[in-house]
Amino acid sequence: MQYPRVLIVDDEKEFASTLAERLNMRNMDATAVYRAEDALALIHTADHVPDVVLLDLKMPNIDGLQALEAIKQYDPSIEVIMLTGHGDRKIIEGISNLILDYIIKPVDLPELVKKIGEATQKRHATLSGADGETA
Amino acid sequence: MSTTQPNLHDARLAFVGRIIAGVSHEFKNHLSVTKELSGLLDDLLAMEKDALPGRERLTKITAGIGERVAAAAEMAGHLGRFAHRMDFPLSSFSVNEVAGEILFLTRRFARLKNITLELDPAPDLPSMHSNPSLLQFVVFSAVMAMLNHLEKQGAVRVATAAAGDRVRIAFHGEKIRAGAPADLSPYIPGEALQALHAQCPPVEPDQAGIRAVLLLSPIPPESGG
Repeated sequence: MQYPRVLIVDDEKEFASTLAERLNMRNMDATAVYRAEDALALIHTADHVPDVVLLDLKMPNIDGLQALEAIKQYDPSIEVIMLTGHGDRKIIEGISNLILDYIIKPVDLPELVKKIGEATQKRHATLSGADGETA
Repeated sequence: MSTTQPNLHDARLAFVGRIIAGVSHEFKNHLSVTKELSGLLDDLLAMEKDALPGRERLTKITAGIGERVAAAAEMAGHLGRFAHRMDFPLSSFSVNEVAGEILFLTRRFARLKNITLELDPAPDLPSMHSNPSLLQFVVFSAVMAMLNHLEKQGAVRVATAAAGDRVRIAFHGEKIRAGAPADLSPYIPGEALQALHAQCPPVEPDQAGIRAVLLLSPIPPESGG
């Protein structure tokens, strides 16, 4: 069985790397990057397309909203879960059609693991459907 | 001068709000890292099972860290939302949310006097268009006046209710000190009430425990607050 591939994008390095380590302990293939630019570069590498991206909303340079748009343009099947400090309800409402869900930091790990599971299932179902259509 | 330029008072409030909001975001970042590090330690301890002496005590310590992080994150969340209320003088909001937020942040003052602070929110209140930060100031002023007139082990209950397109906020006290005024509304700054288009009708002495009532009307958007 293939582990869910998770890409964590957060400029708080210690948060992102520790979260990746904890997800890897839970049978996931998680990678942390600390800049949206690095995430986009990684996604464009065919071997590293993630099932789920955990994307921090507020980052310097390319922020979460710009990165979300770029990810979805490149591959709409990649599921995105936004990470946010305060909920930012209005912003989240504005992008609700592009994201699977959002998580408020500090993260509730069991809740996050559940959402990653849902996101992975959804992506695999989308890809299976696309394969079926082209077959 | 442009009519859209904020006055100095509003600009200073927005400045204070931005600083507090920024700091509360940073607090949340630190808390997020602390929670993950503590969680990682927990994960590592779980892998050790019984091989590590003192594992049970270490697990209790990480649980304690987790509880404190959750409490601090809740506080930082309230503080951040409180700060963002100052972004604009006028906005539409839920009175229950705005009142709940300021009561949460006022808890410390009540706790130091050994008094409990509770919100009794009415369901289905109309959304209010007004100045949420100023409303919080008024609620805070009323609650602080109540706290100064209650005995230890007393309670302040803040109850909201719909009154047409207006919202009624009543301040009840339990264990009111002998000799306390029947009506605490004079402690609420009149200028703030005027700016809010709010009223504080005199409280009848026979109303058990109610010491102040606030009637909040929506501010027409064109009035500019």
